[in-house]
Amino acid sequence: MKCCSKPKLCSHKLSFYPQVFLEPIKEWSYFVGDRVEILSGPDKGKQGIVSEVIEERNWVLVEGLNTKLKVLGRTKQFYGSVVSVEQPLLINREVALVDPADMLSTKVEWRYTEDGEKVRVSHRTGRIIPVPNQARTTHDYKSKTTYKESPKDTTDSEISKITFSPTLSTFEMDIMKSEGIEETRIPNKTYWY
Amino acid sequence: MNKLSRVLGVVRNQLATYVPRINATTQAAVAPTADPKVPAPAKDKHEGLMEFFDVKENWTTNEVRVGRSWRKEELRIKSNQDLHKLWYVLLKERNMLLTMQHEMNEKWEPFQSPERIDKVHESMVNLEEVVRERNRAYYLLETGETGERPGRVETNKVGMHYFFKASEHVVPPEHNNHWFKKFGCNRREVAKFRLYYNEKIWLGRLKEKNRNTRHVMKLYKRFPDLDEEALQAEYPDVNLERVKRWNGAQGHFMPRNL
Amino acid sequence: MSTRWYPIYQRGNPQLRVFLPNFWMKLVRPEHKQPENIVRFITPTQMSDHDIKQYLEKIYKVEVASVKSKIKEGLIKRQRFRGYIIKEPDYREAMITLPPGQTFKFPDISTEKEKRDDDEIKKFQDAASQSFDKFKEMNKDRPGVPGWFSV
Repeated sequence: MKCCSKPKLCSHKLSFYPQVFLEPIKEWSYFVGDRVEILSGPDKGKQGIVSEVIEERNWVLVEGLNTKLKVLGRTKQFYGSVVSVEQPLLINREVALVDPADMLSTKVEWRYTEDGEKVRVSHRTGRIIPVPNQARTTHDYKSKTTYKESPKDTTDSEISKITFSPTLSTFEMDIMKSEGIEETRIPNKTYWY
Repeated sequence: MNKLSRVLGVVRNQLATYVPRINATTQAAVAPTADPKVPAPAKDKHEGLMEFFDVKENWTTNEVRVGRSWRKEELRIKSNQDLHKLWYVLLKERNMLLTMQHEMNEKWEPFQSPERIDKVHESMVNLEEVVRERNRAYYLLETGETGERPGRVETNKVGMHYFFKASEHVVPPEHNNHWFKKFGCNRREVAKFRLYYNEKIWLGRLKEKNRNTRHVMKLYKRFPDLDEEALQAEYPDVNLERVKRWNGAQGHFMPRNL
Repeated sequence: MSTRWYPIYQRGNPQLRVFLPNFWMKLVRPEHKQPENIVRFITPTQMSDHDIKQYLEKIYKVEVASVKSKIKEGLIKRQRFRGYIIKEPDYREAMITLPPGQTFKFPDISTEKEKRDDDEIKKFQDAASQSFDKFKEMNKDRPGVPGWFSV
């Protein structure tokens, strides 16, 4: 973005990147699986579920809303197949989170609970908007509780076992002691420069 | 000719007895003996070599699901012996993964879950860092130094700064004729170069600042009600109060009564 | 001291030891047909024959009769579209002879996978053809109407 603010002077001429204007945002508060309301465009006022988040452009895709029809695979013989493609929406300006208390759009704020947990809070009603479980999925599991242990995994009880006891020795000295290797020779002096 | 080569060979052999070949003094002189996972020596066939391959159930699957890598705080509570054993488990796992990847690449087939290599690598890096931490603590307590390879910031021959890493020598520097100082420069000789170099850096910074200021101006034009605190945090050099009053930051709107 | 810094040796010094070896080894298929007791490895170029022998004997408990290794140059090729040159890293190829009486056969990994893959592809094709049949059945009465135009 910044490196190519002047497209004409861009050193790598093969790739042309237009200048992108990103509104700086303090803290990200839109996640996959959130219910949002659309504030502008043909689908204004409709509510939907966030299907994709593109943080680099402050964009959000809403499932089945704000779509454009697109013709794919059109040839002289075949008229092509028409699909509807979701168009990105700018967060906070074209889209807003929905408060679960009254199902209306609100601004949100990050606050701490008494237990020290960080939560999203609706600006209008003060109700907590929980982050959906869908946002917590990783490549390895859908949710932490449903993860199935593989035979090569170390078990939780094995990991939490404390076997370290501090001794006045380096790692190498300790291993040599436990392996029964004795070394009485003293290394000669060397110089570091 | 023959005689000469024979003599040279003798000399080389003699040298070899004096100076130990560094690598010859065993990698893994200290492979863990008490590890239950290491099988007994394979007498009849290739049980040891089959450890280079994954278990047979994973040959035909499209995906192998495994957990995450070891973290530093988990490794810190383990004894040195445990870490030593774990290192060899990880080493074998990495060899196995590399072997499988090579075989799959040769057969033009996708390698299942290649992120396993990264997980093992991350665990090994963490383990080594924990071991270094412990050794550093010992040396600081005993000698007052970290025991790491010493280094310092030095000036090179053209007057630029770099981090000089010292190396180990048998002979002190004043008696070492083969070693010469790579750092240190004549200030007067490099003065002109330093001047131009510093000017280039300074101009670069100035250009970046101006570029950022213009970018902020255009941001104001597009988003008149943006969050100024976040903007200032992203562009700390830019004077927002000044930029806001510029003509380019005012936006382009149609008059209402038209 | 870092575990990766190897101290220099002087006469009378304690024996130099590596506690956390960082070498990797790949067991690979031989390029040409070899006797049954010969195994081919790819290792980093820094490894010596002694290292390879010790590595296999101490860590993998494999008996090794002899090691022959040489450094091979990585493949140099041209990038297809931009045309710049790519060089793959150099490696050391080690041919290891097992002691008499021991043999090693490289396991057949890919053929088993191919069988399974063929089954999966067939299953996928069957499902696709079934769904197409269903689509044809649905649109039997209205020829020429595009597929997306349906209730």
